[in-house]
Amino acid sequence: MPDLVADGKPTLRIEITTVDTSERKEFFGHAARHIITTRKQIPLEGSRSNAQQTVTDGWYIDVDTSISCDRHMPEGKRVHAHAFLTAGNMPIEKIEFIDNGVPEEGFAIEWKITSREAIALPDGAKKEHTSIREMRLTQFVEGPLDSALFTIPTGFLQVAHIERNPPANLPSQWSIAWDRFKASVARLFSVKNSVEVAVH
Amino acid sequence: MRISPVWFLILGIPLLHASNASGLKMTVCHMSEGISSDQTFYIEKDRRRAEYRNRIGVHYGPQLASITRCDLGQMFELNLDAGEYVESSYPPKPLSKEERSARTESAGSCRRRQTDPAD
Repeated sequence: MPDLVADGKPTLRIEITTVDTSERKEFFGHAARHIITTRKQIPLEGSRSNAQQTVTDGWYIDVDTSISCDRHMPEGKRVHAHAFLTAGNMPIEKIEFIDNGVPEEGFAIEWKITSREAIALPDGAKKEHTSIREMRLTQFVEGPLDSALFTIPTGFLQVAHIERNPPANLPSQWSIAWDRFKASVARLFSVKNSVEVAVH
Repeated sequence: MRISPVWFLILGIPLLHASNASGLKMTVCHMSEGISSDQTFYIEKDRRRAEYRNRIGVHYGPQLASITRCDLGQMFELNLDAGEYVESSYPPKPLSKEERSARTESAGSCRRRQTDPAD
């Protein structure tokens, strides 16, 4: 049964199909299950969104990685966070969600997400764009941890703001290329000079 | 009544096992467009530490860590390179009226920048 999140006719359908392949493997002492989840975004009448398909090919285990004060979602109920969608000056999309299969709620140890989107070009033509992202757990160790990991190291200063991102004045591709050129010319001359010194 | 020390040993085994399994360390590797980045998590029942770096293209920011402590009701974010940190309440408190209006104003200025590239 479609879950209408706003009154009126939906303009966008999001269909999520979860398939358990029945494949299993051992992962650091836990049984991992192989699940493929396909999320289709289908524009309906009146929609301005692009068609999208995202396939998540993942392996999951049953491990609780939450801590006691994390906010928990209601069990067995998928929460549709985006009741409607806005982008720039485009009209609001009314979305209907359709779930096929049992949604996977385990902890992902590995996934490969392949996204395909049909992008509308200014001339009206459509171009398909594909992107791939991957995630893998490379270390998984259960055991006691050093309590110092959860404390502020001595000497750290409390401030109002910390820098989280790379510097804003990143060098441009041209300046990187120019620096490389200057460095290679400098190397050339330093080699020439050292050869001359060796000859004399 | 005399209690054999063996019972203490037998009863202690599950406790020892529980303390060994009390923590979890895991490293997650993300790959996208030929670039990979790692995040490491340390998790106990009421506390968590995450270590990571933000990235813009191939340019990386400073080494960061976030520490969440349920017992203190706080989260700390650390710039490990600069030796600085900020703290906030966890779980986050709902925004006050003033904070909400400040965010709305700030969102408005973003919109203005988007629509007027000359700014």
